[in-house]
Amino acid sequence: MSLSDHHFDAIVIGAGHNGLIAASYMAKAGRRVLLLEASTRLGGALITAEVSPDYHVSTAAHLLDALPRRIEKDLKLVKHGLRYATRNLQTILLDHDLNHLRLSTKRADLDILRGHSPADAAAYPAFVARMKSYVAVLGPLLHDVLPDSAPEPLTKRLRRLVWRAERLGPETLEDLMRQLPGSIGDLLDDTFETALLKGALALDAVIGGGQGPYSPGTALSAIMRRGLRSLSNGPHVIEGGLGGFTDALSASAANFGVVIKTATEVKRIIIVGGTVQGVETQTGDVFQAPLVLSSAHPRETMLDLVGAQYLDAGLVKQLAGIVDTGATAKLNLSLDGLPTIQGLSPQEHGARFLIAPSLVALDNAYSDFKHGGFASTLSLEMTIPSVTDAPLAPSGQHVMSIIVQYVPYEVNGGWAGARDRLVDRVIETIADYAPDLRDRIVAGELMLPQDFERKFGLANGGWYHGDMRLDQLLTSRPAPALARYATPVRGLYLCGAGSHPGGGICGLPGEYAARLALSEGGRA
Amino acid sequence: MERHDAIVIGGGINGLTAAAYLARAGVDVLLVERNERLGSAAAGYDIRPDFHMPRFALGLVNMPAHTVSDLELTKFGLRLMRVDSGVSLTGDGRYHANYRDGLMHRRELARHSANDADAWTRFRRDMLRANRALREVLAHPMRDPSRRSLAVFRALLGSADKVASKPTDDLHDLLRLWSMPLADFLDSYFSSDLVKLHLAAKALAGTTLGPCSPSSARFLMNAFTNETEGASGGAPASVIAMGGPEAVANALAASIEAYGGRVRTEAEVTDVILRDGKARGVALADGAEIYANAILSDLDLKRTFLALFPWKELPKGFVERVGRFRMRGVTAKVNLALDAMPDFPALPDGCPALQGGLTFAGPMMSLERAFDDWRDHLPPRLPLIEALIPSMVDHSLAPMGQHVMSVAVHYVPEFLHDGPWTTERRDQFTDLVISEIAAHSPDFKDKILSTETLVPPDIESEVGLTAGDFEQGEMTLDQMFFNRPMPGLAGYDTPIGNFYLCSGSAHPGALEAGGAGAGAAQRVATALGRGAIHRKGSVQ
Repeated sequence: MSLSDHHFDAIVIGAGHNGLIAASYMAKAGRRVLLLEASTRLGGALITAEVSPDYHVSTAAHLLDALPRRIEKDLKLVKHGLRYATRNLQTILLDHDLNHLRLSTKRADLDILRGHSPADAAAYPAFVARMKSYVAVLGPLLHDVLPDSAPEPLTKRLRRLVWRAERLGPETLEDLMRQLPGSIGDLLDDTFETALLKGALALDAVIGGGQGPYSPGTALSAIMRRGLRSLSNGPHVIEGGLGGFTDALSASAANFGVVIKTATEVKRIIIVGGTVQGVETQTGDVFQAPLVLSSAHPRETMLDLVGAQYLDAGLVKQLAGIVDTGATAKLNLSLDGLPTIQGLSPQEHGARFLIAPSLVALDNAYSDFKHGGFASTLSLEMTIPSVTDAPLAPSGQHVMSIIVQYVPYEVNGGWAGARDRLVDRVIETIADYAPDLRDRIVAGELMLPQDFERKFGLANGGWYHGDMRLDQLLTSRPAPALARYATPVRGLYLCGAGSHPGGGICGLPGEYAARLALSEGGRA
Repeated sequence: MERHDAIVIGGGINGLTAAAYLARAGVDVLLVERNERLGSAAAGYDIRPDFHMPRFALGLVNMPAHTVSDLELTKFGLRLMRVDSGVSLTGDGRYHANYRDGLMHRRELARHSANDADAWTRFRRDMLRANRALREVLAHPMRDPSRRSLAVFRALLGSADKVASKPTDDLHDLLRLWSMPLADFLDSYFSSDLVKLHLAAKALAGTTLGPCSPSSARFLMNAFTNETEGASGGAPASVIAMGGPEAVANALAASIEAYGGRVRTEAEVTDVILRDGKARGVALADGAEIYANAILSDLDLKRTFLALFPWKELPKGFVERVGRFRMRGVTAKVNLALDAMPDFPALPDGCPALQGGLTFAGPMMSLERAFDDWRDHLPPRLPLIEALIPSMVDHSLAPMGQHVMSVAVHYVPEFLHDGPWTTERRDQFTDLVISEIAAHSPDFKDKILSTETLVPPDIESEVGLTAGDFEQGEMTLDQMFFNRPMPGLAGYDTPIGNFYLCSGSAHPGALEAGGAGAGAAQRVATALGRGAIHRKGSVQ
């Protein structure tokens, strides 16, 4: 190996989507970038794998719902193979009485809602507009690197926020003030009466995280989620599952000249005189660079790869205190035919389904989960991606992908006996709407929070590198001193989901960190 | 025709405080109270002849020192005793005592964990700092950002500047405290489950959040509200008023009358008299009408607007907004007269911290479970129990050697999922509470002379608190500061001209005893052209 094989302008640790995006932006700006990944494959948790031979499905998350169009364009992802099987996927709320609701403001869809509740049919478009105006106020917090908390920029930003809020008009502002610190459950109770609508909207706000629908702060996270989604106009189904997205990101990175090494685990970040010098791998290889960006969990990056001796005690405590809660399981099924969801046409089977009969059921499920159990009535998000992406399964056959909300990391009595019980319960829940599901199942795979931890290194099986919770958002993410991607170590930046604006497949931490590193990080 | 400058409806602590500040400013004020005794939830009674005790409240008081001195309450007979802040007992026979004395407290903490003795110093400093920041906010009249006036806008920009100028670390410490779940917050300081449990139980008592709810950590600072910075570094003191919390009400009443105001009990207001959309007076149950230029309500928001007004006189949509104000009862009361002092074998003999009361609670997750049960309206199984034996300090309350025990039980729902509280349900509940205490005090049951149990609906019917909610509206972030009671009404004004809210439903609610009364008095004094009221610790 020549000297230049060990010298780079920048090293990115971890090839999840944020790591790939950060590396691509750095390389696009002309830097020589090395991307190191501990496992043998790229994409982190965004992979497509076989449930059983010839049946493929996204192993974990299954929809691309928050990637800004800007990133797609900047990184030429379409040119590098990104294909949308369905754009702006329809969401259908399954109803026991077959009056399924669609989350949309189209007249025909509102007519169905009117059948459930005339008041809600009138309230829903107003609700959508209200959420949009909230997003308009808070959007700037998502669309940019957070302000420096030094007095001057912070003052400027807060003043701008006050201005924006003033422009809203008193009623929207009163609403926003009241709702922002509250819970999505209270917000929905104040707005709607249809149990099905409230259950689904609440599930949409909390899915993937460890908060209950009545936890204070979930209204804010619901607004932030909407804000991120509005950047991508999603959700979208990607051809080949989210592994297809990872392939496009990898191809883009390679095309920009990123040198990618898999099966290369970083042992430590080399620091001399408070400045980053490069990294050392588990096998003892040393790679040098004046810039290092880590997409690993902030706790792992700062405490394991950097080491507490370089950090002040308060920061160490804050990092050690980051809370990760796994609350979500995934069930993937191979099916020998399309199950019949009653009351829907075959084409509509390609939609995104929410099964969340009520807020009460969702809240009870949260209580059960807190105390180490899972509920008898589960809330789910489900897709059958093979409806619009046939090659995922053998001809005429299908795969089903189900995210199950409120499944604990440890279950009372242990998972050994409980795994099958959970699978049965999920299938039972869906079979209520698709009675022939059971007969179609060829094979299945259950991913519990523990499996996510084992397979993807996600602490406690939490998806977000730190729960997206009131005290772990915005300038507190992942810690006040690290909220702007830079760290106390000169040249070291955080670029993963643990940084603002956080988890979900938005890629913004990767993009923002790369931009900041490029502007601040000198030209070595 | 009887006429005054101002009428205050309701003689709770906020109403009395409002009237006292107004009287002191020279306003001719009349306070009318429905019941025979003043104090509303602070009122006391004889549970049996010669046994006197607080009926609704636990019995500790938290009147801020600046109000006590502004209104000269000591001169009017108020005697406050500072005592150690109590002990916690757990099911496995362990205890944790809390001493005001820094050295003793440190030694006690070290008995559980050496780390926690050090952590206490940090915790105490952070809680005092957080209270200092809060006092800065409470010292200003609450600006309502939804009122679009230049002055408010300027004030808001000013606050933005002020926030931004705080040292970053302080700002983030405050953000953490106000947003974190209490359990996680305590984990970041302490390691002993007993220490954490005691702090959690004291903080969560009477709140509508659980230890795992985001934003519940901030209740931890309540215990430090009236703590002076120069104290010796121990646990914050508990304060007992000689004669019970009603002594605060009686001193306030004496203060009102000394300044020339008037207090009338057993006078129930049935209606507010309106003319041209403005409040002109009140009609009493006995048919009398009294007129005034300003009328203040010490009733909670719902009772004020849903009971005193014809709904058609209120602006469109307002009744619905009032209806959405969240009020839920969470506390029940069990009052006991005891033949003798109960023994608690787990405690060392003569433990002085016992004067500040006892807390009985299971592990942290069982507190969370109790909270979940409350939300589901289940009969309490593992409630959080606080007990106070005020006769240990105040010998006038019971005959020599005998005692009164005031027990507040938390996470008790207003009604049960399958129906209302019945006599049988109340009895089961009383038995549960007594058994929980008796588990720590073997001969406890034999010492009981009398009991009375009040569940939230009893508290509603006795003192008129909607849903039995002592805080007159849940103290969650969405109902605090400029959101209290709702955006647009944070400055004590209401949609009815000349009519003001001075109860705990208004800012700052339960953050400061009498704070809403004092704030409303300031607003009304300005409206009546009396200029500003001088209050210690307040800024115009």
